[in-house]
Amino acid sequence: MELARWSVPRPAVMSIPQDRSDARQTEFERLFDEYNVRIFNYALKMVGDHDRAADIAQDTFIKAYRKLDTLTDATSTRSWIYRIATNTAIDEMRRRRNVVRIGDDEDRPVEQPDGGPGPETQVLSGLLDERINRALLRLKPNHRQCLVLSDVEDMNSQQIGEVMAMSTGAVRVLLCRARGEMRRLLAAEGLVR
Amino acid sequence: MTFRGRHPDELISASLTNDLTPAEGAELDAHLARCETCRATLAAFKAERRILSGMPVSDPPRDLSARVRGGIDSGRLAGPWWRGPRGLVALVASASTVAAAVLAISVLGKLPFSPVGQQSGSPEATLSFAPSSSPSETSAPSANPTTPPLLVSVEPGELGYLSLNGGSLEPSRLSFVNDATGASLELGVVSGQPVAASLSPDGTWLAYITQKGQTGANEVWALSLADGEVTHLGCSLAAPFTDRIAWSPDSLFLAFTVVAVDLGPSAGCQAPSSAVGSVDVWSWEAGQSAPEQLTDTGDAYVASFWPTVSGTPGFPLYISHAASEPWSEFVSLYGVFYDQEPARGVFLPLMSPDGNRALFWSGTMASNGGTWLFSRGGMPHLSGGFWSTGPASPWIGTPLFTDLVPVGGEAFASGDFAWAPDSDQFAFWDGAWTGARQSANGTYPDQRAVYGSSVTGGLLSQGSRTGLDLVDGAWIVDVAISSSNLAITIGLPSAGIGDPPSAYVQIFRDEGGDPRTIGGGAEPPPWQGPAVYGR
Repeated sequence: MELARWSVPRPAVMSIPQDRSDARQTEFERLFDEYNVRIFNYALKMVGDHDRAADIAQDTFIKAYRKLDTLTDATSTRSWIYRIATNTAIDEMRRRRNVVRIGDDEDRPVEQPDGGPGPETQVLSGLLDERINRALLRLKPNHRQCLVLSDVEDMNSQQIGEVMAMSTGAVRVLLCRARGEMRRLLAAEGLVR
Repeated sequence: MTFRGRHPDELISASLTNDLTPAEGAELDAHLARCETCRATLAAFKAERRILSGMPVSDPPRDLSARVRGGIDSGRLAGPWWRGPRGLVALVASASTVAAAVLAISVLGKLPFSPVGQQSGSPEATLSFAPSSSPSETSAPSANPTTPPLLVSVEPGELGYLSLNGGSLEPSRLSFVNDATGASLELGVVSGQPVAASLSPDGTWLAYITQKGQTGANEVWALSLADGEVTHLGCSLAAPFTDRIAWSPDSLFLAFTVVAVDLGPSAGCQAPSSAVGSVDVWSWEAGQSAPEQLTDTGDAYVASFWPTVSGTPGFPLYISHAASEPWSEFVSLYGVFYDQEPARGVFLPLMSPDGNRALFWSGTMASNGGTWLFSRGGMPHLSGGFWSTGPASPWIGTPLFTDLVPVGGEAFASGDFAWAPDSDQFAFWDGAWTGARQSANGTYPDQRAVYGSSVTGGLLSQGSRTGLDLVDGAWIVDVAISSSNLAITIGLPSAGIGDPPSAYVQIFRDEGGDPRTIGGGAEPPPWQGPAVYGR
């Protein structure tokens, strides 16, 4: 065996180069500043619960920090961070056993997230925001996801596809079904015809 | 026109996000002009979009930045470690959330974070990485997780093993059993025998590999010993050097090797035809989303994490590239850059638990459809000490067998090895020797033997063979080592036509005496093993 050179230095010399570390932190702080409110609100619309949304936002940024080296194209930052947030939210909901895989659009009963209001609350609540949230939380998770990305985050089909790992055509179909379902739910709340 | 004769809801929906081609837009306009239903749909969709886009923006919690920072410092996430379906656990964790957040803020000596664009009066409205007094003082709630009780725990020194039950005509059900307590956990139906297992260092996860029926493929799984949930991580062609499962020392990450295989659309193992046969490393963040492909070179095998690295967050993962002259390099799953030179001529280094030494392969390799083997001079080696000082590379190692000499390049094609927790004892087994036997009785080296020794005890020789007495057709499935015991899983051929193969675990103790056996002899014959020791 030819092992002519000292190929692995002692571990004691291993460290994050300081200039790289500083640049990394600066980049991450910028990312956090720009997206923390949006990611928290995205998570909030996904799960309908402040504490759970905070956990998702927290984990999203921790993962983003770890994976910062994989972000090579600054123009894709938004899709990248929303994709991490989406996967984190999916994982969180999967642990609560009330969610389907991204892109899974098979017919199944509409699930009631455990963060949603109960029947008593529904009767007592007449506030507009609560009615919208209630309709949103009754959507299937992947419908909710693409609708929020489209209508709240103002993403087009291609951008949503990057976040949800779907083709543009599949996003269009999913989005159409989501709008139809949301229209029905909002109509039930008396908000649209 | 794609929507003639029905209502083009998809185009109406896509028009809201400017996703229509000019032709689609023109056709939609024409349709809307004559269809009142679709005009109503468009109006409803627009109203719905206005409603959603007008939803109020909520403030994130004021301690979010402290929590993120604490999580980065501690390497822990919020979710899986303390928040679970058990209400009591969640309640305790919620209390610790508040306490830890308050503590973090007070230690940092600044006002809590407020998001950009909101009125707070805080002089510091950005995430800060200012040095903290200690990780524990600034930790997010998840940094001090309330560990949920495990459904089956394997304490240090205790042995756990997989147990497969079911006859030839019944579904095979897999369970995990603690040998000391008898506690067991049902894992469900699998299509083949388990052939490898690895307990996470914190004892909360068990990763294992099962055969996928008679397809020649394996499946990789992870079992949460906290809630019993089993996660399917992937499937791979069964090939030498691919059954190593590497846990990071902090139990956050799992790394494994996948040889891409296509078993058809219904089998759940379908790699693109262009990728079939490529070998790559995958990683999985325990309890998180689906595994991620870490390499795309088509020649990469997982080796092991380097367990102790002072002053650097995370733990480097060694991966090895199969080639005529194989080589190994560090990668990081922690977002940390390791400025290291690759280790040339080194394949599949297995770091000792103390991080000071490695067992590794050297030799010339050749490939045959996704199966890489040593074609010339393949020998396991022991590295030098990484903590010692001196001019020589630790990778200029010592052959593990002191009395074997490759003749004409004929040596081992493959094999496996493992460390004991003391970083001194180790074992080697399943060595496929391609040359002439080098003992008077013609049985050395023996692929059906386990050879054990220690760094301080003189490495391996013909006399290092354990006292296994195998029947014809038996083979070594896997080996686990504790500080004082050696647990060998032995596979047995099918007892008859239609009967599945069986396996048992034989445990050798340092103090001597007859080995103890788990399994064997039952009817129908169960498959017991592989085994793992608690760490």
